Amino acid sequence: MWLYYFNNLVASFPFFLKGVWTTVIVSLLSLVGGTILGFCIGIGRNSRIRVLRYSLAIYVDFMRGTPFLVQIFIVFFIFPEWGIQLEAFQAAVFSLTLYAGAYISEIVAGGISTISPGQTEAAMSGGLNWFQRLWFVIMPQALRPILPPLVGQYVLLIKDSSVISVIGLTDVTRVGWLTVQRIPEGLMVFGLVGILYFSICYPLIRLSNWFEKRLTIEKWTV
Amino acid sequence: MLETFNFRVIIEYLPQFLLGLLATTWISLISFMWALFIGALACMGRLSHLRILNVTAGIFIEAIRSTPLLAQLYFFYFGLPSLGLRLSEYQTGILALSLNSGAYMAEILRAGVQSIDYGQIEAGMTSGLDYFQRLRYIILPQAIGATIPPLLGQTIVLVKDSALLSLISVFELTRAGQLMNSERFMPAEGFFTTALFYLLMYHILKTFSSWWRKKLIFRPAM
Amino acid sequence: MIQFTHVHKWFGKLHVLNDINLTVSAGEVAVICGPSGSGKSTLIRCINKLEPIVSGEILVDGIQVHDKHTSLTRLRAEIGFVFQQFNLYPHMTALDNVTLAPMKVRKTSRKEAEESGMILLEKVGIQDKAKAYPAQLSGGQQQRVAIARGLAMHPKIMLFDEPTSALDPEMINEVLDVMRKLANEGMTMVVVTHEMGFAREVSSHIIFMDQGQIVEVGTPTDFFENPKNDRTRLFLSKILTH
Repeated sequence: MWLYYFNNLVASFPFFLKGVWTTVIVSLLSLVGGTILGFCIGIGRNSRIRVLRYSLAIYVDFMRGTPFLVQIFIVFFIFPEWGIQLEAFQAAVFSLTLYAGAYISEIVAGGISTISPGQTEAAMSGGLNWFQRLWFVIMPQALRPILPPLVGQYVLLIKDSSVISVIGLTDVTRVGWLTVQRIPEGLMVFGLVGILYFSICYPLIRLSNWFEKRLTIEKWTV
Repeated sequence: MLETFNFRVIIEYLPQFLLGLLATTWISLISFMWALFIGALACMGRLSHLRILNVTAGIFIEAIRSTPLLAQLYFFYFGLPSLGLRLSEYQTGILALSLNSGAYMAEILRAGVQSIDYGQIEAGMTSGLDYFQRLRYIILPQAIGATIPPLLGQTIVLVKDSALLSLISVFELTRAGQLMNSERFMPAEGFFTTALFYLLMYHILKTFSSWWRKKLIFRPAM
Repeated sequence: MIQFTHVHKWFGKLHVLNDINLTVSAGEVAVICGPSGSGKSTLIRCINKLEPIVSGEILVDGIQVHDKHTSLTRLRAEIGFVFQQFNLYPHMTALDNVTLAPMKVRKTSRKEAEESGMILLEKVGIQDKAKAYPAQLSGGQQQRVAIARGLAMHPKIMLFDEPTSALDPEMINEVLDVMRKLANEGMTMVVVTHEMGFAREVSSHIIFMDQGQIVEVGTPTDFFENPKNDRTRLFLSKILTH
């Protein structure tokens, strides 16, 4: 009986690969969007414009204080009420991007805060405007403390992407959920799901560790 | 939009939300305690000199940290029955949450213990303190102080993760919102209220974390 | 060139600058000294608006520093600032540190900026370290690069905020030499420092500050030989008996 199920599972493998593809695509789009958003927000949190700082703080607070599941429900169920019809895929990428952006912004803001204010003052004294200060002086230095936790955050976000399965998107988790209805061997099916996620996440975890090591031997510190 | 916000329905459902809040709090509390226990065990395993303990704990922690909680939840929900274990949804949920947070806490505890300067332990040794005295007076006080903030962070994650239990029909805060949506077709009122309650818990935990951090500063330097 | 008129600044309840009136003419070297907390760093940082003031007026070459319509870019291009902590950009070579502002603010070409930059580095005696990173340089060398960076925009005024206070004793002179050179070339300078030997030699006048106020101003000779105020005397007695 077990063997029967096992053979069935092997036959379903292509279906799982499709799920992996969906997970990868959704994650990739959301991570790229989230990184861009996160950098903008992280930089914006240091702005002199008080309204901007406060509204960004509220946004980040909301995204970090509520479960991603609830956020997806809000996007998927409430947007239609406001006249915005989103497909599951669009809703998933949209929610995950907003979610990622908030967490990444914390990492970016944290990285920027490690740069001594003297650097900003020196750049100001040279006559550079805020964009030039940010681009030439602050950001190049801030990337060092930002990169390792950023990659770590990517891993977390890929795992969080499993929640999009609840709105019917066929990612790895959903494929598992659908399969287990036919093949009632939960351990096997979700064991496979776990292995698939592991193979996506593990390389990134190694990358994050490598970043941490390499970026400690900086070219400008002796 | 706010004018069309049906506050009367929210008030009507308030008891249900409060019950959901209570359920979430209770689930989080129980899971937290189990997670701490599991985490402490895994941590000791990880720090052990016995290779088998070290490796087993390592595999457990890596497996949990490289796979999504939802997949783990489904793993137990769909998998345990085929092993003959008939746990209620509630028990399954707590099992998954505890194992998941336990793995993360194991790492937090390990980092806390390893952050203690070995010189301190040496000083203790040369003063004649035995293993348990060193543990009690030197290691534990410092380790606990250092690990409370990240542990609180993990607790916040735990509370948010508990939302996933709604997907296996456990009654808690998110489920309360889902029920309001499915019974009354008012996703905005339902999910925003849900979000608000989570934000409440989030801020309470954050305030406690800040209070603890302030308390730490006033401690005499060890 | 620089003029303070009835300048006041508060940090909360602390009256950091109390009715500052000061004039520094072109070509003069003004040295500001005083006990810590006297407000001297704050004063100098107000000149290029690193710090805002609450009331009063500061004019630099006729420009109102604290007017909100003043172009800070234009203002700061005329003022070079040297920090106690050097604040060199650690991710850039010495030469790049010097050329950054001219290239980005004045839009000078890289070739021109590097040529001028090398001349400046030569002036401070560090041309052979042009391609070195700050971490590879000693404190004295870093500060000299910082001075070259301050001179990069060919400013009318150079401000120095305790330039040698973070240096090991054996490196102080190499920096002071550069500053002496600048003074002799006629640069308008305001220097906050404890180096009294330098002050006596190079300054046109010395300003003593205490608790946010200017207590005494005088030429080097007058200041050191005939201090008028008791607080000045007290300060000098502490600082000159080393």
